[in-house]
Amino acid sequence: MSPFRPAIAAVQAQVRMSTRSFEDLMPVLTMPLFALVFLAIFVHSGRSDLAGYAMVAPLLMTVAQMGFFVASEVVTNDRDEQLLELLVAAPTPLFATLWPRILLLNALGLVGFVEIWAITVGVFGISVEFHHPWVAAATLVLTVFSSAGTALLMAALFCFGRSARTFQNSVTYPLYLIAGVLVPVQYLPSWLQPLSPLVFLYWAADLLRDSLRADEMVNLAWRLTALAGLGAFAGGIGALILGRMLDRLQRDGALGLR
Amino acid sequence: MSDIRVFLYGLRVGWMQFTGFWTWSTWTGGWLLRIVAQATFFAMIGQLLDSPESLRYLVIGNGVVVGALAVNWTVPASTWDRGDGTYPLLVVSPSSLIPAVIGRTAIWLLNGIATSLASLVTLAVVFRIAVPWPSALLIAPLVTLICASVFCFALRLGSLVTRMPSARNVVHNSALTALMAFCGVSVPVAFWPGWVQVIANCLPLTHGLAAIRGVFDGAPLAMIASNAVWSIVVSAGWLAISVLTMDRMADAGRADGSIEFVR
Repeated sequence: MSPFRPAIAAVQAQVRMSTRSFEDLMPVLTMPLFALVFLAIFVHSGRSDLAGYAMVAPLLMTVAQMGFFVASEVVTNDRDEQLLELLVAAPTPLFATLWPRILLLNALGLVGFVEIWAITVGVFGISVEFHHPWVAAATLVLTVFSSAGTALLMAALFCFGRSARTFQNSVTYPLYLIAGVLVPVQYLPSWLQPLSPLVFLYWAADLLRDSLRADEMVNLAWRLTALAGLGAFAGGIGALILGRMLDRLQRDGALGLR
Repeated sequence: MSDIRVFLYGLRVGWMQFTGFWTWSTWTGGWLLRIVAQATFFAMIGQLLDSPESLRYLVIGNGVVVGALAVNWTVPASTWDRGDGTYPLLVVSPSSLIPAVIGRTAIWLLNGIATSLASLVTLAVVFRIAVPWPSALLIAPLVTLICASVFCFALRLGSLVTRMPSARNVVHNSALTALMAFCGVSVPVAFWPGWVQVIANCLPLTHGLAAIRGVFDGAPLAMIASNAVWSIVVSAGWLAISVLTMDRMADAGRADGSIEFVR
């Protein structure tokens, strides 16, 4: 049997579930609309040259929201629907099916780019050129990976209950602000700036904005590594916590109980 | 009398649900932190543009619109009875659905007022936006008026999504983005084409926000009062539409047998 078969089956199942769910697609449908707000502000101020910023921010926010609010719910939803017991009992390791599903949901966030592009060109008649398209592509792939890693960590935290939900509802905008998703971090107070590189969105936003400029990219390898590394770190911790949590739930016979 | 009783019971249910979600510590340390961060996120565009006027405009607009965001939770909250399985009982009860739904969702109106006032004060201090005295006293009633106006609008959206609960968050978020884009939060209403301006003038935030900007800018009282009156007119319109259609939406669900099924 191909080692990829469980992953492919999991992805197919997730596609079927998500394409029927408004909730799963909600960030893709709504977050790109922020491009309308950002572009209106820049155009009104006579700064259409910042249109790239107005495209980068909602795209990253869409991917991140898919991670924070949709992908992070996969384990909880499986538990609610009594699927988790079956997945844990199956001979295939749980992570072989869980990780591809989380990756897929985060990758779906990239579809928001179509909506953002349509608003930029269709409503405001602005065309934006990526001077380093391969850097932009690599950044987006690694952003999906890092967002998925963060979603896995959050999925693990949700096993702890209500306080994690409060965290989920509270964490997004503070992170977007600290990471400089829209306004670069040099505009933040200096005491806040040291926190920025700890958030994967900081590296993603910086790389995407630089990929819009004709200037040569600086420290590219290091920045891409930092982006991927933060995702790997969060995902590793998430996998560790989730594995231990599931072991405990199995021992307690509480895997299917909520 | 019975409508008031139903309203109060609804309010109690809403309060229980609200306190199940937020405690005082998580409301201030979680919700309010997120909301202030959100308003700051948008206001910082003024810093990027290196324009004190833009910064001031965005601080006031976003300090107010976060209240609308909180009130707009009325949209998803309108469908929660369906998820709880209590909606069919409300529909078949002899009382109208209107006081029950308004009561249960009114907690989000109160949350919106508190959220907006706390955010406006915080942002005004952080970004050093002065408010002329004593007209600053008008801000609290005007914020209340705006939140009430958004509440009337959200009731209408809520009654629509009770027919399709799975769309509740999409409608909630899209409506809010539309308010942010077109109602003078981010750019003046005059920035948009004429037909968009006509729609914007029928939306709940536009006139109330213009009144608050008038207070911050030290505008004549007559201009502030005129915008406040227009805000009341728009609110009354949305409330009338909501009240007239709420029971009908439930009747439509009863007619096609869909009120027990949550999609």
